[in-house]
Amino acid sequence: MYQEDSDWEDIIPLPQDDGDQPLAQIAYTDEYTEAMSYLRAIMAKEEYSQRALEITEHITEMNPAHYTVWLYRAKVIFALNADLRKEIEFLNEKALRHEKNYQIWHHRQLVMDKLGDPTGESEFIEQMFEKDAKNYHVWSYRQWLVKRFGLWDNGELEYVQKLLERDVRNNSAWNHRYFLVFGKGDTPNQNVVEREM
Amino acid sequence: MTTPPSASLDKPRHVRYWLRCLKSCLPEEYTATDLNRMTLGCFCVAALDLLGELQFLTSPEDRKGWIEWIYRNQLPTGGFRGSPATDFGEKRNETNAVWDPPNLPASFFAVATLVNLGDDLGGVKRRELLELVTRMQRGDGSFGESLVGEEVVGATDMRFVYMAAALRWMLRGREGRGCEDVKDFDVDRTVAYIKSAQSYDFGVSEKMFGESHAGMTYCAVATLSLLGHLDESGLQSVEGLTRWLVHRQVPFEKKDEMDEDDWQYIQKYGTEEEKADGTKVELGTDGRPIWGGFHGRCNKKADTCYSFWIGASLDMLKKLYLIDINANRRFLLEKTRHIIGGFMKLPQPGGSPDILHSFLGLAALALMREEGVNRLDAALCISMQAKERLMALEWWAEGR
Repeated sequence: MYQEDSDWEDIIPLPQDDGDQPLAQIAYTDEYTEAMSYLRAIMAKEEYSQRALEITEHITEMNPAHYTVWLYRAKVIFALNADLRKEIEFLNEKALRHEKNYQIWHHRQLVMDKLGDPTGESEFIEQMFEKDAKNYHVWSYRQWLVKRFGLWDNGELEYVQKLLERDVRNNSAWNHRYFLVFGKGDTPNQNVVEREM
Repeated sequence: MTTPPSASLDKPRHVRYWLRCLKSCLPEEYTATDLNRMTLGCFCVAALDLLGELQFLTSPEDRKGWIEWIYRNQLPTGGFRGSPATDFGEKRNETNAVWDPPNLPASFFAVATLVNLGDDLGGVKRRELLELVTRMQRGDGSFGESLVGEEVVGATDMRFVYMAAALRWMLRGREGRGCEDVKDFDVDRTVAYIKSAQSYDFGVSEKMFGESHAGMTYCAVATLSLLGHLDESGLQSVEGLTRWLVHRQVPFEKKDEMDEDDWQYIQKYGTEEEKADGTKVELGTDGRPIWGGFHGRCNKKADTCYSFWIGASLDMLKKLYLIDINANRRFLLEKTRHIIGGFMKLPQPGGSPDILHSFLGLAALALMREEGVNRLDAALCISMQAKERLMALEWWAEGR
């Protein structure tokens, strides 16, 4: 509880003001209500500290779709010059537990773009596809990764092949194959055409 | 064997569901949608409007109160937030305002809900919002989700394109002439973005080379419709798209309403008979599947919401008659409708209805002219009456 935490005693929580007749009122837990009040206070203060990082982690656990808190977390991470590899590991763990969440993958893109090193990404993405080989956010991210780091010939086609052998009806895999052939912008040469046939 | 008669829409049950959603607290599970309360509120109000009960089962005080709540979430600098989650109240200042940014989807849902509630939009900072929309357009013609300081943030995604086009249509009035001193966004560039996002299979995706997806396709088709480019100026192939849309209807198989784990077990350890039974499609006396919902991507499961994303797209293309309306209708009314009212996402046993799927299921039925449901405008996703009311407002009609 932040109220009893001495690390937070200088912060006056900002309660949510829903007015007299809110639409779509939600029965929040006390934990969420309190954490959100402290988050608002910290954001209003524009504090980009270690404790700000911790509270963003707490909030994203209870509400992984809080898009502003992810943007705020990104700012904190970069301001603190935090270890971006560690952030990727943090995101791995989150992604495995919140499969349908888009913000997690968008945040990953921001971090990976700054980190500038895709080592380990293919392996983790494979883990995600083990759970759901058609996860739209992950395929979208994979395309971005290929373009960003020029991974066109880095085993992508082989991986798509593997997925199609497992399930020839995986439309996402077929689409990725099309992207690999045509996405670079070159016209495919005769070898590629023969291979695809 | 004769086909069992089809169910009908149990209006009182659905009305009760929506009144509960509007008047009592949503369960804790909705915490994950906390920042999208504007969207949820929009769906609740719109649903009651479609069922024709908004004027009768909510009081003028209720509606006034909701309108006030929506305006509370309008930012002083224009645009709306999705909920009071980032409202700093008196603590808001020029610098921390970046963390309470305007949000494009929230702005769309806010304006749509105001229209649904009968507000004249007099309190909407129209010029500021239209300016924001233009600022949020990127070089490639797509739009961001939000503006944090000077930075356009968010995915490169068809959804925000739709929000921008819908806001432009609603706020600029007749022939888009209103607020003419506020610079318009680059329509041609947005149309080009959409055209490039049409996939090799003719469905539309989030962006070029993305996998074609019914939700993204709806956003693209609605945008083109609102911008007056729903033809070969905005699409590589209208016929191809139509075919892709129609092919998204899938016959209902017995396994679709089995518990996922049970079906996995049968696939691994079941007898040949059990496996065959799972993929059985029940046909009516006309030889067609009795139930047939829609999926969002090739080889995926049928889900309530796609009845709307696909149905509305076809409706705008004036080709809704090409689908099996009966099978779609029966899928919704017999397989995904819930006993407490509303619709579930999937026809799975033990599932619960949620606001998004409940609204989109109802909207899909509205498009198919379900008895007792008001007509829906496919592009704006509001009732025809609400749309006509907006168009009759003086500033809208005069294009001011």
